[in-house]
Amino acid sequence: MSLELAARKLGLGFRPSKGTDVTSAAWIESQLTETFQDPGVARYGEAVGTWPDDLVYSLDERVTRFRDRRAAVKKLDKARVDNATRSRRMNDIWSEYTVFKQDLHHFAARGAYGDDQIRQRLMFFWANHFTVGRKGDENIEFLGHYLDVAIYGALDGSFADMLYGATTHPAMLSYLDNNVNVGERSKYAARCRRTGCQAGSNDNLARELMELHTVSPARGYTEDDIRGAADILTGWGYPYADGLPFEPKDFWTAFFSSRAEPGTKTVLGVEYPAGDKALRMLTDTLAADPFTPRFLSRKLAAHFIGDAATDDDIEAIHEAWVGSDGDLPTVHRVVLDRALAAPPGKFLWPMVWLFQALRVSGAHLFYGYEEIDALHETVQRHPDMIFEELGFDFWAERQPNGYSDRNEDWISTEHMDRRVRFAALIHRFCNPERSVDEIMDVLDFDAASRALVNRGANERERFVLCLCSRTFMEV
Amino acid sequence: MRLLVVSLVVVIAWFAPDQARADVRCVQAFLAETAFDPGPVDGLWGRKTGDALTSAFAQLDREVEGGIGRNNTDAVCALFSGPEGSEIADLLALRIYPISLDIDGDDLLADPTAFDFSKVKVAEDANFGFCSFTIKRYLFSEDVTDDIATGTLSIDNGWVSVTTARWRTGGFAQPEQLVEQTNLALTTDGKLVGRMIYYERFIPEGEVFEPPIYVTLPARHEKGPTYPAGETFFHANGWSEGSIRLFCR
Amino acid sequence: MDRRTFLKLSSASAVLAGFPVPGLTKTLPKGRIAVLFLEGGLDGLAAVPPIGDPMLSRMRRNLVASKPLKVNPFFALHPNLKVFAQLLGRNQAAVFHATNLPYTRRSHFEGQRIAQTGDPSGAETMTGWLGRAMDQAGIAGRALTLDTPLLIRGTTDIDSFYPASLLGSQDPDGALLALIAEGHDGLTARTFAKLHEKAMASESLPRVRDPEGLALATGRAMRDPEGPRVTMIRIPEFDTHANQGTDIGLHPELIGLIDRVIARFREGLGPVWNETVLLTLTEFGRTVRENGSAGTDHGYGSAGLLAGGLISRAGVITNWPGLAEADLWEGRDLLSTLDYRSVCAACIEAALGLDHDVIADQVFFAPKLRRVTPYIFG
Repeated sequence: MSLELAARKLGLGFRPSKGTDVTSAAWIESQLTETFQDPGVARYGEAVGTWPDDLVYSLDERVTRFRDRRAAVKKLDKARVDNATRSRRMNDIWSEYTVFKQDLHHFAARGAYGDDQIRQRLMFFWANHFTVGRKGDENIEFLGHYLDVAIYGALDGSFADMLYGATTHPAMLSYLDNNVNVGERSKYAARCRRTGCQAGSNDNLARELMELHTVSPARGYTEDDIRGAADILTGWGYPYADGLPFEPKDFWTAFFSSRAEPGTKTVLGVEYPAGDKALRMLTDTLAADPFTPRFLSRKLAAHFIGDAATDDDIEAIHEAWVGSDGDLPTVHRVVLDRALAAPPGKFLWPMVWLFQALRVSGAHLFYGYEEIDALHETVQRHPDMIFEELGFDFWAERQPNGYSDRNEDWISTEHMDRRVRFAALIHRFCNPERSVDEIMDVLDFDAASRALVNRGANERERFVLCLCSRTFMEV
Repeated sequence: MRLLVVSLVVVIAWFAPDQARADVRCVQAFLAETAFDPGPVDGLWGRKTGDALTSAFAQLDREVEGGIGRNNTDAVCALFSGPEGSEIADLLALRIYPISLDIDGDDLLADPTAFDFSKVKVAEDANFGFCSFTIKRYLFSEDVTDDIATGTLSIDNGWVSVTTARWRTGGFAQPEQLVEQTNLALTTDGKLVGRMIYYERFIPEGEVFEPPIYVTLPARHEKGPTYPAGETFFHANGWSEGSIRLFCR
Repeated sequence: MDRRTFLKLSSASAVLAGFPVPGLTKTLPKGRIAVLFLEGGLDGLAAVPPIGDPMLSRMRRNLVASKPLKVNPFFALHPNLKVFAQLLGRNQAAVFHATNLPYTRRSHFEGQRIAQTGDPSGAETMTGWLGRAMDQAGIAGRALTLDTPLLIRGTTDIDSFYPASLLGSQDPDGALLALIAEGHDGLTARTFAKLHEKAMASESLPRVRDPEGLALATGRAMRDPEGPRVTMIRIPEFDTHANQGTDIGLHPELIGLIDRVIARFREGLGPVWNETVLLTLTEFGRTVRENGSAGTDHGYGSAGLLAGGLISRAGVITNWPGLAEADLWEGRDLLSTLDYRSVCAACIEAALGLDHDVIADQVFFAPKLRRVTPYIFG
């Protein structure tokens, strides 16, 4: 298979003059082992450079900004000003303190220009497996960090490491309500019973940890097991509304024994001690449980190979996992090899389709990082609005089971309507470098598909026909 | 004191015929399964039992021959235990707390442009056959002013009628809405007072429509060079305010 | 928040369904039914506080609005329910309190699923109660929405529509869509073909997305005698674990939104309001006591708000369980003393003309479901 086609199957496609001479196998290997620079564009239409360091925010900084923003809003509320002034100042506060828009631009720039395309696809998979949705304004500032560090940054380690990192990340603890999961016999709960506040067990994260992230319901765990896991998770995370009682650098590892359930817990027949070490023990045990690779190998096959996945594919991935104790690079290599060899049949996720459309046609859609608050336009260039419109957005509020991997769930009239609109918009406003003929050459369109595209009345129609063809939308 | 009450109760209970007690118990047992709590099911008629029965029958909206007092519990018990019993139980499973509302304020179900002009000094001798108007929008967050709509209107004895109009917003906005949904009058000091329809946002190509809002005039007023020209401002929302600028020949 | 954030409103959505099916629908139901799905768990005690219950102020020191609208000695409405209050005054609204579906496990995911399937047994029901009701009434025609929500999935295949709001985009051309369809097969081809049909049809579908706009548009669409009989509007974000608010704040704002949605819906329906009933639906209520974060957690019993011209008697209807510690569910939640499916069943009966026994058995799989229709419908 040519490199261009491999890049579409496993990555995000090559921009014109970005392909290389290596073989597909060598390219895949370099994608998994090299390090890459994050791309960035200052303003729309300018050359691609690197993403500025000062727009990459550590967890410390995000926590500090979060805290300072809340304080500023509180101060504004106290200073009784008229509507107009209040609106202006709120605007300023949000621009000054929040960073999620920068995160989105960073993400979009990487998708549109980054060389690390296979890693990005892997990140999409794992970020969807460990779905963390937006929870109001409580965790929106931490989502970018979650994607970058907890998921992307864990691609070279073991599944057990990624699992623990995702489970304890502040974005996740907020999303699945672990911030309000308090031990019924904890000191905090006892105090609440005296003073009348509400504090108790919340098993949302524990439930999804077992149901969606690791062993799946096939394991046959009981409500008692979930309860045990919920108790182990007590003490991790702290509700933001109560103020942040710890230093930013503690945020990811913050454990509050006063909120934790005392005593030992039992989950799936295994006993866990009290204290903060129990959670790592639990996640390691779940990661090592045979049901986990059984579940995950199916998911990986469904995601990268789609309907054409065979039992052999799943078995190969499963073997690789079990043989390497869940070493992600080992597993990924097998997944990618099997995907490369499989016939087409995977209907691309909307976001992957969009990035591929931009890259293969050599078009430019998004604003640059100096235009994060730009207002007047005739076409939508803000990544947050674009992803929302696409119906596929890692910053969206959504259910913990994440975006579907079944083709039919993406083939609705509305999703197809969006693709046609986006394709036309890209041709009209995004200056694609390649002509339709060039795109069809590079992607090896067969004669019948070409003929259909050429029935378009003008270049724009041909462009839309090309990007909405079966050849382009399925890999 | 408690001993006295207890002995009193014992005495009364001892004197009450067994059948009457059984009837009261029967009534109480029936009500206990409904939304009308009769208190303890002990065969003793108390205020709770009486209240429950009164409310229950108020909801059923029917009468029992002989009434629903403590002396007629046998008839009530017969009703509850008879063929209509289960139907009555169904009708009493939930309690209807009827509405006795006293709501002040504007009738929100009426016309959204309804306005009370009784305290307004309408300029009854103001007659202008041809005036032009512009509805403008001022954003708070930046120094941007937009024209939302333009048109012409006439003022007859102080009352405003829009004759022609054109919205610049797109979306749901239609010219006849300004003609039909403007309820304004001119005051003696040149202000426009009343309520009207208003669209807060422009709907550019490709975006979805949004419903209108209804605004009350005036929030403040700036006089123009001649009467009645000037600009009347109104509150729109948290991020902008609007105005209607008038010029009459 | 800058202006653009106002444009990006929460992901409310609406469905229009229950179109008559040519050749299949024998008798067209006279009424209309609308479900307002409040995702996240509506706090019934905040929307309709039981001011006559002596325990209220003790349990909810900081969560009761300061000037509720008194509707009778025992109950009041949150001050943001102004239009609803006026409808109550005109016998065009009602409240069922201390009610919910028989689901007590307090999970959004599961709870929303059960609220839509109407089947608390936990079975993998793939259809929704409203969809099954439409099947029974013979009006399971196409629907307009984004991804077809579970609530209206019946046994027949339904369509989807959710208007794009993409600055700079244009409506796709009908002929082009037909051409694209030629290059696909199976589901994809059929989907593009449907898009082509829609583009060529003279029907102008409402292009709105905010809850009020959706209410206005769906109301208008339901005026058509050959149009949809069923609508569902989904409003997310009721899950207020923290900083819930009393007079102002997130939950009160959302309660106000319910009020405005009802008002717009009535505006859109015009005279057809007399043939309509609207009801709220939520997966659970919230805890009676506030939690440590000035909010409430997932609970059990909640309140259901009903409005529409089909209602003949207004009132707050409940078997009030009380707010004392001993009366609470698991010591924390308002008890539910009425299976809310009875309320849904009553609305289906009134709007779609189905028999209660048929509804109980075929729509809710609960033959013994209590009938509450006489309480509010004539």
